[in-house]
Amino acid sequence: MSEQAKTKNGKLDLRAIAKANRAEIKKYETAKKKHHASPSEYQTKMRDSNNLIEFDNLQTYFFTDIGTVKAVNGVSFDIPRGSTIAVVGESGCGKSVTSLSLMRLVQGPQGQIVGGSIRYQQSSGGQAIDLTKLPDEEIRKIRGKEIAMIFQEPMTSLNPVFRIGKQLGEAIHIHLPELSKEEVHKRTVALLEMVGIARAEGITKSYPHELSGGMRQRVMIAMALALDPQLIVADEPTTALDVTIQAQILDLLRELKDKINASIMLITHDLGVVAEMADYVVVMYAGRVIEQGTAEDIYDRPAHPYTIGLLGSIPVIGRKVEELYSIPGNVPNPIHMPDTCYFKERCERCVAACDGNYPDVVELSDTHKVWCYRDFSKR
Amino acid sequence: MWQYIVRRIFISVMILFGISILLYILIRSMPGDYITMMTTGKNNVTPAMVEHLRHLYGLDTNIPQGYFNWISRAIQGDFGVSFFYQRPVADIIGEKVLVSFTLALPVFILTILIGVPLGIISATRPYSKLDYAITTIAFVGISVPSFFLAVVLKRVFAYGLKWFPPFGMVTATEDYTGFALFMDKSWHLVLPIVCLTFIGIGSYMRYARSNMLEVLDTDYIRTARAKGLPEGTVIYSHAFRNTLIPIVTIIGGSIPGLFAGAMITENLFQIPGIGWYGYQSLTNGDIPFVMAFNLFVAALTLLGNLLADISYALVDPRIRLK
Repeated sequence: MSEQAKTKNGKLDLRAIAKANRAEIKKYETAKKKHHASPSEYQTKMRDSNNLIEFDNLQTYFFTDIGTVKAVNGVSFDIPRGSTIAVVGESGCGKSVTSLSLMRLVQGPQGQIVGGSIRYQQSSGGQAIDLTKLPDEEIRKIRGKEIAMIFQEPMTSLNPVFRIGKQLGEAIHIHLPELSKEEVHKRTVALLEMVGIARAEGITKSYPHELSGGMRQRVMIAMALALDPQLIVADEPTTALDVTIQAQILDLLRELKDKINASIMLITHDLGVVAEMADYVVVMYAGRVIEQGTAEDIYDRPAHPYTIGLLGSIPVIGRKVEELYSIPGNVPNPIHMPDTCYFKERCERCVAACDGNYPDVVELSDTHKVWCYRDFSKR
Repeated sequence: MWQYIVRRIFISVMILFGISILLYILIRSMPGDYITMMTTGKNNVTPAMVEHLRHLYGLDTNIPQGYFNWISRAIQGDFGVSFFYQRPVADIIGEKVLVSFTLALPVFILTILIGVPLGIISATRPYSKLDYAITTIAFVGISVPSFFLAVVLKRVFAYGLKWFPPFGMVTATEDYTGFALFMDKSWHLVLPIVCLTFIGIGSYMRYARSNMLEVLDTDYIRTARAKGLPEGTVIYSHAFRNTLIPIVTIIGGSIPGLFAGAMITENLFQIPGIGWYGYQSLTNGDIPFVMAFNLFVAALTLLGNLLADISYALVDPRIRLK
């Protein structure tokens, strides 16, 4: 349905939107419910065999009552094996939705992956698969086992009515049903010890509310590492924690990542954390990747005005300023995005070409890409 | 915990005192007391006789005095003799409560067994046709008055189809015993049970649905899914345990209500339970019975609240009563 048809006398035609939404949602929901999809439908080939994950033009939309929100609008980047990749951007830029799309945990029925693919190189058997086309039953076997996730809210991410031991043991049991109860318990205790929880035996019998935030996040990390995943998705793992605990948790993540040789996809808006952890950085703005490169590329030679603004807004020790820099303006309304550069209205380095279509990619080096009209030759 | 319960019981007793005062004032202020009703239209009754009767029934006092007389005996456990039935009030209540209970218990079990699963099913498919259908039925149940539903049920199933008897609890012309009596009673109770169940399921269904929807939106459900748990385990283990918390408190709170009777439904189906007797006594100005009956219901309500709080602590590990 065209955008025009959804407005009547200049007002939103809510009924038309609701109707269009229902049709769209039904289309995607029925596709997911298919039980006997043949493997040929979701098997695919990786572009580069060094990559563990390849996001390719991923589109995740939310069909809301006031229109379609393109939360992730054509995102492409790779996660090489054994590396840490950070996805940064302000709240609402689509970084969390990107990670949830990877886990296929986007809150349905409003949220749907509508296009693109997420290619994943399985370790066992070596087959590459497209996670967006995988039936529910198959993605379930990958979640928690091969790709695990740590969420940003440790305070609410554990079920309040079950003991820690049960919640952790359950994660092990579901993927390794052949283990006996004692073996599961042993593993649970070993995991808790691995993430630095003293008195692990006692903690298995505790309820989540009896633990501190840092402890809970350690439990979440233990849960994510329970089955030696290939990829750990950490969605702002330290946002809800105080600074000393933050450092501990990040150290822990880094250490454990090397131990089990996993990749990390770190989602954050904390550029300090990124500098400390990441090999590669992807900067997102309003549902799109606007710049990506290695950590050095981004920190030493930021190219996109938005990235420059983000880096400029970090306080620097020893430098006295009246007021910390902030990027002027707000993120545009996600429902009616213009087909120009989304950052145009807030940009301090606009050129004439910015009034045109959304900019194409500019490859500054093998690793460094930016989507912007600025003249980079003069730099 | 025990300290908490003792304190709550003490507070409940204070509240009951307050309720009894209000009740007594209201009842004594009602137009047409028992004596007026008994004597109106009888020409051979002289004013002197009326005065004498008033004195006999203790209605010649003013309200504070009357209340004082009543409460001083009630504290000792003597709730007096019913004006209308001429029997000790406590005996009647003790007897009739059981009749009401036989009707209320199956209703209670059925409303939970039907209402909660319907709510869960509804919540797992929000805004689907099934959800709308269940919600509509639930709202009809909540909205329709019991007297209307009772009359419709009687018209269709008792007088029209003649499947069930229209009223009473036993077949008066037969003298059943043992299992035959049980079957006869069950047969008589089908319509009232259907009537009360239909009215009751709505609230349980709505409660279960809204709680389930809320729980399904939480972070820990996302965690459960991220672990790779099958959807069935996510909903019926992780979400359901949390949905149960508020529902268990309602269930705990409504257990005492099983003994309070259903005034309107018992009347329409002529089931001699506490609700029917309560209604009769109210229309007759039977002060001892009305006072005892209402205080009994009030005590049950307070007990229900206490049970709700205690059951909350039992099902939610985060709650400790102090």
